[in-house]
Amino acid sequence: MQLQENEVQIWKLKLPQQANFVAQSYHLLSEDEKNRAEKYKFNEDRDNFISSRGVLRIIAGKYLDVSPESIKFSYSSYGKPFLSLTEYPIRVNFNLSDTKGLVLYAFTLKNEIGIDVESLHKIMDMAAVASRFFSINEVQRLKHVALAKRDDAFLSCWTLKEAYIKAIGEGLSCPLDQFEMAFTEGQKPSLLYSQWDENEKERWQMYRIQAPEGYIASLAVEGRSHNLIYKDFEKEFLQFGSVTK
Amino acid sequence: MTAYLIKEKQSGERNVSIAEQEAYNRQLKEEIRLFCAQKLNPYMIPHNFVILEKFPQNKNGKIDRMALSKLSDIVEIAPMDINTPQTFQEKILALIWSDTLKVPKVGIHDNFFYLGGDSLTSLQMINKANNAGINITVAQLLDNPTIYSLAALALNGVKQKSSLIIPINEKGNNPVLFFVPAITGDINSCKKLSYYLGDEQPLYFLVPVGSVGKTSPLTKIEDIAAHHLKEIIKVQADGPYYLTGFCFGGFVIYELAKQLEAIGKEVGILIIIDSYVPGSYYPKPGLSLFQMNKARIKNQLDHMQNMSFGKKIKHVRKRMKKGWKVRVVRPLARLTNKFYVSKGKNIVSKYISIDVADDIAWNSYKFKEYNGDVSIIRANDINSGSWIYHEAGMGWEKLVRGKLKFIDVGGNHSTILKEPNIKQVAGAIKSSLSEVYAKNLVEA
Repeated sequence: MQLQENEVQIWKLKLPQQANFVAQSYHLLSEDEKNRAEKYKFNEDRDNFISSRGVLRIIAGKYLDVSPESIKFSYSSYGKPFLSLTEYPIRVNFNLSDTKGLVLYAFTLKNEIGIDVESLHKIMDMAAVASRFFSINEVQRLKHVALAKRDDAFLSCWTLKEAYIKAIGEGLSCPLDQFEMAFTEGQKPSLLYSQWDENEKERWQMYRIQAPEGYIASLAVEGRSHNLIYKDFEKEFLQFGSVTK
Repeated sequence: MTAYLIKEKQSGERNVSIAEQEAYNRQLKEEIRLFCAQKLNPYMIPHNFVILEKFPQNKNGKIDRMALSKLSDIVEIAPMDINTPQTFQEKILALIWSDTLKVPKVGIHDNFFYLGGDSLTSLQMINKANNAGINITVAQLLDNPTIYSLAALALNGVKQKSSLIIPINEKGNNPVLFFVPAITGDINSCKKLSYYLGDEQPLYFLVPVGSVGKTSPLTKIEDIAAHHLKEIIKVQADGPYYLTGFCFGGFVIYELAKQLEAIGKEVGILIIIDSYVPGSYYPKPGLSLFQMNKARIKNQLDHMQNMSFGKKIKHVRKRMKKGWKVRVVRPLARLTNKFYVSKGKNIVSKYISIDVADDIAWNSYKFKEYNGDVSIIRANDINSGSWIYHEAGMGWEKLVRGKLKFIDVGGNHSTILKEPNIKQVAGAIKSSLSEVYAKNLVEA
């Protein structure tokens, strides 16, 4: 399995997986991942974490041509996992996002990447959260969206912002009102403005990516005009039964 | 299940009051309980901790278990779940977490992200907390993902932010004026002053150290000023700074200005309200103690002349109370402090009240020259004038190297910040400020 130059492969995994899949996944995890799994308060969250990490290892193992359990992840100071260049000859960048019932993974060569998926749902305190955390213009544009579509528009904006802050590796430590996304219907998703660096908007390409019914997902990738390829983990791997073979 | 703990006395450990010891023991028990919670299974955590000086012993020198169990009967406390919210902030946060995470019950040591929290729910939770007056940020949540640590942060944050400087007037286009009160820490005269200074003049009240939270009063002007300096810089990051202070507050802003200068911050002007530098007033030469007291009593009698009988009684009681403080408590504390200082120690400021600490502070302050401009607002009626000699320069003309200006207003030291004199004081402040504001505008 290979990644081509300028290609982004997007994988999806449905959750929850069956108990025997979780059990097999568990054995692929490193000690610190196992420890982390045990910290989840609820078994469902624990199992989903195990499945999503196991699958991450399986896919990354294929690209790197190594066994899933041998993979060593490094972590940025903000907790973003990555594959250290000193460990692996090819630079595979990835990011994953999970929400209720679904995980999406994005893999690419060389370029920094961030992904975010959310299930479409009614957002508690939507207006207040937007005006507290989003940029002024984003809040304004959100107010002009018809009420019935406003929760979805909020998630459209949010997934773009989240994908971007994950791509730059800072996550929520980064102030969300300091940059701005084009996110409304009919607008091509893009980074319009960043307080820190004028060149940021040239550096990143934003995408609204395909997601199953009831979900919305966004992607931020360094560079321009990428070739997006969609894959389903269950179709590619699970039809033969065992995940590790 | 009960755990018995022996607390060994450290050599040189000071004796403390029973109340203090109890508070300390409570805290110690909490810490041990938390420590156990991290190391032991929940069912193994003792319900009860008893802190003893030493184990009771039987005749054979062994631990007397009977006596022990009796001890625990006395102090048995209800078993407490360490995960139960205790403080107000913890309780509010627990409710908010349940609501945003859709989890029926959360413990204060549960990690937000292991309860199922993600980025979006983080924002929702922080939004709700902020609305409830708990000031925490998303970035703080990442480093402190439990209710316990967030509540502690929120508490500290609030204390730092709002209770050490009180904005009396936040509006207005003029630069901010900071006010340091007299020993009494009176905020009402500051409010009155703000009224006469008008809406255009922002005015911030610097809360005396030792009057809020767990802070102890400070016994050095330098320390008091350093404390205010930190707070001032939070409100206004850079100069020029405009400072005013009454009586004791005048000395504090004098030192504050020197410290601001020392760190390279510009001071616009100091406006000192009726503060006499120690040494600039003294008993009139040639007066005997008897004559002095006669003059003092006559002064009081004159003052009480038109009072009703009840008021007279009240006034005498008030004067005696003040006399006790001024002539007995404070001089004694000053002496004690001198003794401590001579031994290279400091008086334990925890056990003295602010006014005593302040009194020690200004009486031991070493005044040094200051290069900036100073306006002195001086009460023109010196009510103790018949037995105490007051230098007209109030000691400042020997210290101030910049422009020094005296403005006389009506009233004496105790009435200068009262009606009707306070209006004149406000006028004097206004005119002093407008001169510097104008000057700074021209220079800018």
